[in-house]
Amino acid sequence: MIGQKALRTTLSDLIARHEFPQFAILAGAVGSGKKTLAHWIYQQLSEQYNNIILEVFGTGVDEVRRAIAESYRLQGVHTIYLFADADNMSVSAKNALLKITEEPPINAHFIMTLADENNTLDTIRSRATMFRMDTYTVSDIVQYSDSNDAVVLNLCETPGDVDMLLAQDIPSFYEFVKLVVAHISSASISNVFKIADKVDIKGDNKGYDLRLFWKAFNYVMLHDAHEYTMSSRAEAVTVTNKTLTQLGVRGINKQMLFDMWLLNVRDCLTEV
Amino acid sequence: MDASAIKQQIKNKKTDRVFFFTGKEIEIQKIYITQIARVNNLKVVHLDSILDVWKKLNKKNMFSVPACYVIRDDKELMNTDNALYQKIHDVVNDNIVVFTFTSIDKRTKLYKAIKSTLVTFERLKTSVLVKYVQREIALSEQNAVKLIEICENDYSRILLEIDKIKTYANAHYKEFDDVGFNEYFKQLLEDGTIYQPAKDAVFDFVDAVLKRQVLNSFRLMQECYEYGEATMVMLSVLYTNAKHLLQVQACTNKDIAKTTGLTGWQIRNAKAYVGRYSNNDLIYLLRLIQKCESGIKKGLIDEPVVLEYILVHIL
Repeated sequence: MIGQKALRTTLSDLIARHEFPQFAILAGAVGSGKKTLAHWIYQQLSEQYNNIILEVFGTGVDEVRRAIAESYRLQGVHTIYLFADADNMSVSAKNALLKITEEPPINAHFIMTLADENNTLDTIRSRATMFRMDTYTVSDIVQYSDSNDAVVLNLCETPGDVDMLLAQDIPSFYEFVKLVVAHISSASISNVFKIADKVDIKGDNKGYDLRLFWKAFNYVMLHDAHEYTMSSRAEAVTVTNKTLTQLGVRGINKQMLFDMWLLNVRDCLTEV
Repeated sequence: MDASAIKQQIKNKKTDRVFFFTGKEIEIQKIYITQIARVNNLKVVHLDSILDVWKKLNKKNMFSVPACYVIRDDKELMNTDNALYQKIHDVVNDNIVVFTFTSIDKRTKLYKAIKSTLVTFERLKTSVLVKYVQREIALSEQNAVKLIEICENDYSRILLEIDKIKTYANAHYKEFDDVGFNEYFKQLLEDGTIYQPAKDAVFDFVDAVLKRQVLNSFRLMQECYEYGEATMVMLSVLYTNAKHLLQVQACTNKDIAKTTGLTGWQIRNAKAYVGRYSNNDLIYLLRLIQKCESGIKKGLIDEPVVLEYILVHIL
């Protein structure tokens, strides 16, 4: 596992003292390695306990209930129950989790991963021990990507970003972003919405990753968009950053969010 | 790789042995698979997974006959780090293997490995589909375009609707001629046998809003609530239609479809509302809807009051 040295040291100490919590939340940005860390925790616990089991569950209410039933059935057997990407867990699923996390069976460890720790109930957060992913350094990104490409280093903050970017044809992606920056202000309103066709808004992996596209947009806007005034470029970056924070809101309509971003950026850009 | 490269291979009667297809246009994929099998004198056999193919290819049987194996959406292949597909080339011999995916995650190792050979079949353009339609049935160009627009350029749906027209014509024992088919198409459209996206309360509501009919808008909004329609659905449909209207209304280019990326059907629907709102009004409406939608998701705005709030501001 790359990076996360301080967090891994903390976790190793807890595991060595047999104090790893029975309910843990791993919180961190999308692609920051929460699931990898959960698997790392499983490996560390395996060194301590023979026959420890890792079970991965979905986040639907039926899956949560199945996990609870399993935990009672396997009582006494060291088991990790992992709920990955629980940001979209429904309220009924979260409520189902409440009781088990209050009084977990012996030797059961529940781990939940969240991109935004606000995407769960306060009552669940209060029962869990929260572990927040550390920020990755540039050398971590270099090590993970095995690349010194300036685009990779400037756009990628997490290993997930690296994977996402390397899945693209980077020169084409970068050219596309530069084209958007150059024409977003001058393109007609009937044409400009077509930008969304090239970006993965529906989450069906057709098009460039939305988060990465906005990060790349900010980078190009700050370093390459000399056709606009400096103040308007800064404003466009602010608009994009505000939009990026809204991506984490559960159930937000990404198409509408993207369209508003287009309109807001067009409004604030002033050509030199 | 694109479909034209495969077309060339079929023409030259010398095709690859392993193919990877993806895209919405499944009917066209089937046509290509049939043609690939035909030029290689092979039977098309559908299997569930790469493991089934692997067993068939490695079976040492005197009586085994080569075939064109087609595997659709093999989850095993897509979800795991399965490298078996790379070894398929070594054992394929005289067989052909076609892997088809409804969609493929670009982050996977599979996608990275097959990127250069993956063929994507998207919906065909109307101008191309007209030829396909007229090959199947003698419809006028105008009616062919209308049929294509109703079916949203989905070739499978087009074939189904053509089948209905032919069955209807056959039942009436008339000669298969140009006039006959065009008449039957018109009749089947009128009586609803040819499926058109149904107008429902939500669409009536959106229609009233975009026509700026104040009383009707509020009345139909109430009606939608009585039918149990969700506010989010109504917001979403209103947003989409308002956006299409803005794109069409603001377009100064003659080729609206090319400029906006909208289908003929969407453009035709939008044109019915042109002129009632200015472009700025429509932009304001889009912003308002988005603000309300995100407000609901963040728990800042009450869902029941949202539509009234929007209507009061925009009408």
